[in-house]
Amino acid sequence: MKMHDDGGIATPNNEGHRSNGGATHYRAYGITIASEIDLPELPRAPAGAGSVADLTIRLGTVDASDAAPAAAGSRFWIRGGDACHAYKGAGAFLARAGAEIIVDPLPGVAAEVIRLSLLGPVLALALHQRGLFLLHASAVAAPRGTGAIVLAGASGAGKSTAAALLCRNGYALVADDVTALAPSPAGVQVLPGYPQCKLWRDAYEALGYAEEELAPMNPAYDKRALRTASHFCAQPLPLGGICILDVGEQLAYEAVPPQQGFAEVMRNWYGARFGSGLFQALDRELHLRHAAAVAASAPIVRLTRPRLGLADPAFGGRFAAAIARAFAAGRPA
Amino acid sequence: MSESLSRNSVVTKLREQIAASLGAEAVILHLESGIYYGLNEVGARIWSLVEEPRTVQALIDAIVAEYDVEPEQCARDVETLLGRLVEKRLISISPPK
Repeated sequence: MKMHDDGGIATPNNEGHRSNGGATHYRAYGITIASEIDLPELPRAPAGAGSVADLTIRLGTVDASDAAPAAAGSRFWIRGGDACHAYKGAGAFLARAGAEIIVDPLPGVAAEVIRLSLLGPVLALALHQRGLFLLHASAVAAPRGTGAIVLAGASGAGKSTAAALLCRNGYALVADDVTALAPSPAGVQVLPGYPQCKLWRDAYEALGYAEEELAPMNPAYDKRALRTASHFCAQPLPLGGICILDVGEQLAYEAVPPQQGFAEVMRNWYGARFGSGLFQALDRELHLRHAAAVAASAPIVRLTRPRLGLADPAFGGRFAAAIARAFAAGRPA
Repeated sequence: MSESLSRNSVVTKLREQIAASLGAEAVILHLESGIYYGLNEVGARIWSLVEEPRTVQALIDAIVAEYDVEPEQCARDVETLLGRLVEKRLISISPPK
C-alpha cells in the first residue's frame, strides 16, 4: 500500500471508511479501480488482472470552499484536470484527470452515504475525465443480442424501475443512473456499470420486494438498493437504442426524429447535474461529436407507460415486449 | 433574405461554430452564444457544400441536380436557409468580386 501524508488519513473520522489496510481492486465501467474504501457494490477485479489500476480511490483532504452551488444540495468547482464535488451531509470529493479520486468525508457519516456520492456523481466525473460520454440513464441488455437499450427520461419517469422490471423479464442490467458510452469510429459502446439498481419504496414494493431484501443507502431518502448480480451483463455492448421514458395514458411508443433525438441526448447528459461548470470547461467539439454520434448510431424511441402499470402483474411482460418491438428494427441505415 | 442578394454572391462559413453530422442531418453549435441549430437533410448538404466558399447559384444548381425539386422552388428555399444562417452568424455572404 502507498503511504500518504495527508492530514485527513489518520483522523479517527476517516478511520471508519478504510478497508482492512490495502487497496482492493474492483471492475466497473470497463476500468480497474483500486480503492482503500470498501466498495461492496462493485464486482472484484479478476485475480492477477487487476494489479495495475486505471483509477485509484483514497482518503485525503479536499478543499471545497470555492465550490459553486449545483444540483440538489451539491457544490462543484473545476480547475483544469481537477474537479471537486461536495455533497451536503456526505463530504467533499476530488476527481483528478480520471486517474484518482480523493475522498474527504464529513465527521461521522455512514459509509453507504459516502458511497452513494462516490459511486454516483463522483465516479461519473472521473469517467467524464477519461473521455466517456455520460448519460443520466439506466441501461439493460436485450435478451436476443440486439445490444444495450439505454433508459433515459426526466426524474421520476422510472428509469431504475424500468431497468429492474426488465431484469425480471429476460433482460440483464448494464448500468443504473449513470450510463457510460464510448463513441468510436466503429460505433458507440455501452460500458457495464455495476450490478445495483436504486429504487424508491413504492417501486420496489410494486415489484414485490420486501425492504429487508434490499441494501440500505442514505437513510434520509426512502430508497434502497437492489443488488442484481445474477442479472448483470459485465461485457461492453454496442448501443442498441435509447428509450425516453414518460408517464402517459397507456403503454405506447413512437420514434423520435434525429434533431429531437440529439436534443434528448443533450438534455440527458449527466454533466448537467454539476451546474454549468462542467459544460463551460469541456471540449465543445468533442462533446458535440460524441452527442451527435450517440444520437445518430441507434434508434431513439419515446415510450409512455401508465403510472399505475407496475401494480399489474402482467405489466412487466407487456413492457418488455413493447421495448423489444420498439427496437426490433435495429440500427438506422 | 434581402432583395440585394445576388446569385453571384459568395457564401462562406464563419469560424465561430462547430458542426457534427446526425445521420443525413446535421447539428451546428454557435460557440459564442452556445446555441445549437439543426439542419435537415438538404440543409446539411448545403452546409457540407460551403466547406469551400461557393456562389449562391452554385449551391442552387447542386441541390437541383441532386434532389427532385423545381429550380424556382429550390432557389427560394436555398435563399431562405442562407438568410437564416446569416442571421444566426453561421455564414457570411459577400458581394461578387
